[in-house]
Amino acid sequence: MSAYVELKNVKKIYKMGELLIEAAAGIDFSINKGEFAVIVGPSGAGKTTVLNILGGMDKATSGQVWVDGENVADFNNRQLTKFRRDDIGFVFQFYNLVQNLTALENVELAIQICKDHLNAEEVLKGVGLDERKDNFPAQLSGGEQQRVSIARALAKNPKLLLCDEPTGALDYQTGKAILKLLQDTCREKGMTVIVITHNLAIAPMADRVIEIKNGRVSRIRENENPVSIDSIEW
Amino acid sequence: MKKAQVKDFLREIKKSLNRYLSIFFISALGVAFFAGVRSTEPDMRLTVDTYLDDAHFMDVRVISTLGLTDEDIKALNDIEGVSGVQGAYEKDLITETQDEQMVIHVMSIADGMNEAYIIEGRLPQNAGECLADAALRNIYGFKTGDALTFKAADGDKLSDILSNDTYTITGFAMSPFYLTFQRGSTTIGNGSVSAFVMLDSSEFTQDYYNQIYITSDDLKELNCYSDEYEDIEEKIKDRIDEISSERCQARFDYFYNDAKDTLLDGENEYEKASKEADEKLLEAANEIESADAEIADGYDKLEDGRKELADKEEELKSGENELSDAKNMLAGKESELVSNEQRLSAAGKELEASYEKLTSGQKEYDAGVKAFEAAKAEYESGEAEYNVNSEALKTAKAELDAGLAVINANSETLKTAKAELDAGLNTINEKSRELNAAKRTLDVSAAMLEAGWRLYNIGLGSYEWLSQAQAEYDAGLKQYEDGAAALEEARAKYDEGLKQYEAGAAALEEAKAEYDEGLKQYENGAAALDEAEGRLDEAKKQIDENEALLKASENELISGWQQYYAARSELEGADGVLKDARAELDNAAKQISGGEKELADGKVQLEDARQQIADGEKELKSGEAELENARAEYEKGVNDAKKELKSARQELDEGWQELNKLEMPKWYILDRNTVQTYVEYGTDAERMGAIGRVFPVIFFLVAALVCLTTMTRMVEDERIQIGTYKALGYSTLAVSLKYIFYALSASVGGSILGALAGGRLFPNAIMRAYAMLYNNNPYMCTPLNLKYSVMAAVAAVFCTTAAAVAACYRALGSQAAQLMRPTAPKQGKKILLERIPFVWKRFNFSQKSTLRNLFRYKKRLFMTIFGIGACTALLVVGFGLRDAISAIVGNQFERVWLYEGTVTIDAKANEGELDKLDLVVSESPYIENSMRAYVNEMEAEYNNAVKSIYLFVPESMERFEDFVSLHDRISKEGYVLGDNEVIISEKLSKLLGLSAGDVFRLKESDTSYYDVKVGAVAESYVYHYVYMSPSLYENVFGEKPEYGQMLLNMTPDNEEQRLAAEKLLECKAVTSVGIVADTLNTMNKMMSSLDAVVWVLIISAGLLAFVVLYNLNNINITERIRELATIKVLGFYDHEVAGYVYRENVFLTLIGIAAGLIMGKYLQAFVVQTAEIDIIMFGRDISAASYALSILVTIVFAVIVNAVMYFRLKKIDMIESLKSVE
Repeated sequence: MSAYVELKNVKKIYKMGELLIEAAAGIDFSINKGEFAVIVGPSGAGKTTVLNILGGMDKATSGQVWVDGENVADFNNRQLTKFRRDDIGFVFQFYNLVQNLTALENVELAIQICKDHLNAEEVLKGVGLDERKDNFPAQLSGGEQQRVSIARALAKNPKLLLCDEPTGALDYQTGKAILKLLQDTCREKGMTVIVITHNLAIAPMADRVIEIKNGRVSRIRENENPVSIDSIEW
Repeated sequence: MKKAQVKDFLREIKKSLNRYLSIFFISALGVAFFAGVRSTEPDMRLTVDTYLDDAHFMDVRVISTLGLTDEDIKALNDIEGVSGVQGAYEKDLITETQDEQMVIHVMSIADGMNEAYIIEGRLPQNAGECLADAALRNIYGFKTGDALTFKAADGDKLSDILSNDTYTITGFAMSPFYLTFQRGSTTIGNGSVSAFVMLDSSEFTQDYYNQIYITSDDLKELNCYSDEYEDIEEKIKDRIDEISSERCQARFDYFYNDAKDTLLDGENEYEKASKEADEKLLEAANEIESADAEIADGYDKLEDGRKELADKEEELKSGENELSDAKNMLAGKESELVSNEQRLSAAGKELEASYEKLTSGQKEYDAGVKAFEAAKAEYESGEAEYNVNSEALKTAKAELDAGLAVINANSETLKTAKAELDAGLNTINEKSRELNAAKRTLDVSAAMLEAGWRLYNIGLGSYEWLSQAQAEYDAGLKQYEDGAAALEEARAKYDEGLKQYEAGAAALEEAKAEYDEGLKQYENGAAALDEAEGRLDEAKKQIDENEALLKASENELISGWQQYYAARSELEGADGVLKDARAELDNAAKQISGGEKELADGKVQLEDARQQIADGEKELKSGEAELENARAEYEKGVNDAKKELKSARQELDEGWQELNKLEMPKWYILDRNTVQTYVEYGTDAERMGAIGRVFPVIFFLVAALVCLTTMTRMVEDERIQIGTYKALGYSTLAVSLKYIFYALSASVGGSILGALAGGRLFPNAIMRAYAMLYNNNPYMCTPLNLKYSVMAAVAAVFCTTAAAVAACYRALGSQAAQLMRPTAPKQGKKILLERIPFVWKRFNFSQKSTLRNLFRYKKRLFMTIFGIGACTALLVVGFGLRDAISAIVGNQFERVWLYEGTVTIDAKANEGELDKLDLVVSESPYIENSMRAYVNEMEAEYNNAVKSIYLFVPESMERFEDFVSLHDRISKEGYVLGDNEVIISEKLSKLLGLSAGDVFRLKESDTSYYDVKVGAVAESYVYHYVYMSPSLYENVFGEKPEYGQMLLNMTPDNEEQRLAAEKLLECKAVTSVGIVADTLNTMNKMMSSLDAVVWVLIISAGLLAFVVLYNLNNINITERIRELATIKVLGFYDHEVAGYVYRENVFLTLIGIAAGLIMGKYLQAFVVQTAEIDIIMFGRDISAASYALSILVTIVFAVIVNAVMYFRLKKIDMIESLKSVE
């Protein structure tokens, strides 16, 4: 089975005045379709850079980024936008809901621009927010907000669900619930989910764990038997 | 501040340069506009004050009803507070240029006071020089060196006023008395002063001053429009008032005594003059008498001379006659001589001709003789032939005669036979008739016999009788049958004879024809013979004639030759006689020419004599005329003397009466407020102040609000940093300092720039616009008005800084920890509209979110609407002000005054000249219609307020509406001039508070006034008008109006109008012709300079709009950067992101514009009404184009700002979305 997502020698170099900062110094990894992948590493290791490049929010300085047979690294801005629009679902650490829109409307905000989308209310029901769909974000708890955020990402029916520290702003229990939701989504819907986190503890639940250090992949582990999140404690 | 903080502060500025600069410029704009427009009022006042101070303009002036004297000056000089006192002369005089008459206000140059501002040339230095109004140069085209000749108004003598009548212009100047182009009104000429002229006071011959001007050093430093100035001035006026009664008494005494002395002198003089006149008249009468005698003498002498002349003339005439006779004779002789000479020469010629003729005659004769001989021979042969022929003929004749005799005899025999035959026939015919008759009788007898027999057979009749009758009848019948046989025999014999006779006749006939033939032959032969005989005779005659002729010509020739020789000798003799006669004639001619010369001399002498007589006569005649004149003069002298004496008496009487009536003089103590333009300028400044109090405040408010929001926003944006500082232990003050300095430095800097630039720029531009009206004010003072600059700057700095402080303190009031946590995001809320699902459902998703966003950020909503609204409103006011001003001219000339031209008619024009004018008007193809009108300046008074107005009376009520449209401005309802009420112009009604039905006072002067009732108020923009019907005028004034103007409706083409005007100006009755289109042009040009003010407003408003919109958009984006980054991550294209923001902006801009239009409308109305000057009403409407332009400009600015924003939106980094909420 060929890799659904594959990064080949991806480098990202920022120029800060005369200083060159190598955020990604040649990253290579690949993820198969329907896998639950976790990218872990300490702060500043280059996780977010990878995420940005993979999510089409930033361009790699060099290297190839293959997603479902297309080299995203070659895309221009417009193609990148289209890529984000149709193929990527993004879950933010701080949920990034539009405060002025209700839960349902936030989902609608994402799907109104996307052709092949799912029914907003059903997706919300799917994340367990059927009752609260007409509430504004400020009226929701953090976990609920993150669920809205996930619903918003899923409703687009993306090829890839990118989650940036989805539990970072949540308490333990809620974080666990969110991870469960993500894992279930992956299992039940065959969605390829990539979670970026510094929390190595959740590695056992992933199909594939990619560890990054100093801008390079330090280790890739494939979990033959990933465990349910319920059995993981940290 | 600590070092790190300073660094932080500087970096903050560098980082947020946009924001810093926007605060800087908004402060600058606000302060500039506020300080600038506000300072215009004091600047205008200062300008006038400086001008008047520099010109040492009088503070107070005194006018007396009896004039003022040097004693008055001395007395005034002693008053406390008075520093300068100058007596002055002034008088309104008339001067005439080529095409018009104008009234000039002549003033004396007061030493060191009311100084003229010379713009060309110099002050007068010598007698006969003057300094003229710059208007004379600018409007009437005078140049230095030109002369002005003055004429006093009727009833005044110029020599009583000035020592010269003509003055040379040495220069042109402005006078502080006149700031505008108006020169005030007067009682003479056309009623308004055209210009002033300043003369040295020594040019005035008056013995009293018209005015005394007073200045006070106490007042000098004060601004003349200030209350302080008025207080002190009031005190000085009071002090002057105190001495006025004393001075008036003195003047009265002087005047009374003086007049009395003069009158007494007059009485004396009258006596003396009366005596003197009598003496002089007597003397004159004597003189006339002696002259009369002298002339009679002269006439006698002339008569003698004339007689002598006649004698001499007679003599000359006879001499002349004699001479002419001699001349005639001479001429006769001469002509005789000439004819003789001619005749002689003709005779000579004739002689020669006759000689020639004689010679040729001789030749001819010789030839004739030869021809004659030949003819004679021919004749003789002819004669012989004739004789033979004659003999033969004679024989033939005899034969014929014999033949004839035989014929005649036969013919006789025949005739007899014929006669016998005829007689035989007759007998036969007789017998035949007799037989026929007998037969008839027999037939009857037969019939009767038959009948008798028949009767007998029946038994009747006798047989005897019948047998007798039968026998008789049978005998008769036998006789008859015998007669018939005899007759038949006779008839046969007759036929035989007839046949014989006819044969004889035929033979005779034949013989006769034969004879005739022979006769004819004979006759022919006889005729031929006769002819031959004639011919012979003829020839014979000719020969005889020729013979005689030849004989005669021979004789003639001989006598011809004899004659010729005789003539020749005679001719020779005649030639000698003629020569003698010629010599004699020459002699006579010489004698005659001598006589002629003598005669000519005589004639010349005679002519001289005649001339002498004529001269003498002429002299006498002139002497006589002179005498007549002298006599007339004498008569006149007598009359004049009488009249003069009488009028002198009357004058003296009047003088006495007047003296008795003489009133105590009165002083009028006046200040600058009686100088019209000074007051007008003051009110205009006040109006500018009114605009300044409204306009910049709004402007400033917007600016301040923007600064405030910006600072608040900035502090809120940096909560975490503030919290961090605080957590690090910095005091509240220390933390705040950064923001306070930020606000302070930007606003102070901006304010200083604004105050410096605006404080000069705005007053300058506005005063330049006003200079159009106040064109006689050479000054323009635009100092920095610290008061307004500081006021504006402090307000700007305060707003900005206070906003910063307030925001800081609100932020710093919280705990550090709280600060470092992000503020709870603002809750989303359902908006009111959602509760109406019917409406809400109709919106699509983005519209919904837009609406919700709008109401979520209420502060921004309000700010944007207010900012954009204010911008639109300011633009509407700017454009609207322009509309209002430009509407004045357009509306007045298009809606109210419908005529294209005006003619000013010379008041002195006579009937003929007026008729000529009417003719020219009616004949001009370019003039469609005309109407005369009476237009005169008067005053209208109501409730103690007085305005100068024009009284307009149309000649014809029917045509009036073709020339002036009187209607209500708003309803457009037309008004008709009634016979009891007048119609007044709108502005007048507003200024005096008059409305329909009110009664106000029309004043010609203080003493003559009339009360009239207002019927209606009509639309009008320029000047104040009172329209009155001619019948009402007659009722009110008791006389017919003198129509001094003519209004014309002309064809629209300007060239044609000019042609018509040229024709009109050729009329004597026309003083001037005005073409409305030309006036419109000049007015429009003048008005366009007022555009400057308007552009200032428009540009300012535009700048404001830009800055406000930029700032608000900036805030908007900064506030929502995370949201925008998120939707970008969600895959919104750039244009979709922009649209997400723009939808709100567009909505807000539209609401703002709508609000601005409404605000602008009311603001414009307010500004227009406060900015108006007295005599003009601005247009009240804002044109659709102005609204459209305001909207357009606002939209353009909005679009520009949004376009700039697009790039900012594009640059938003999606990474922002990953950051935590700050």
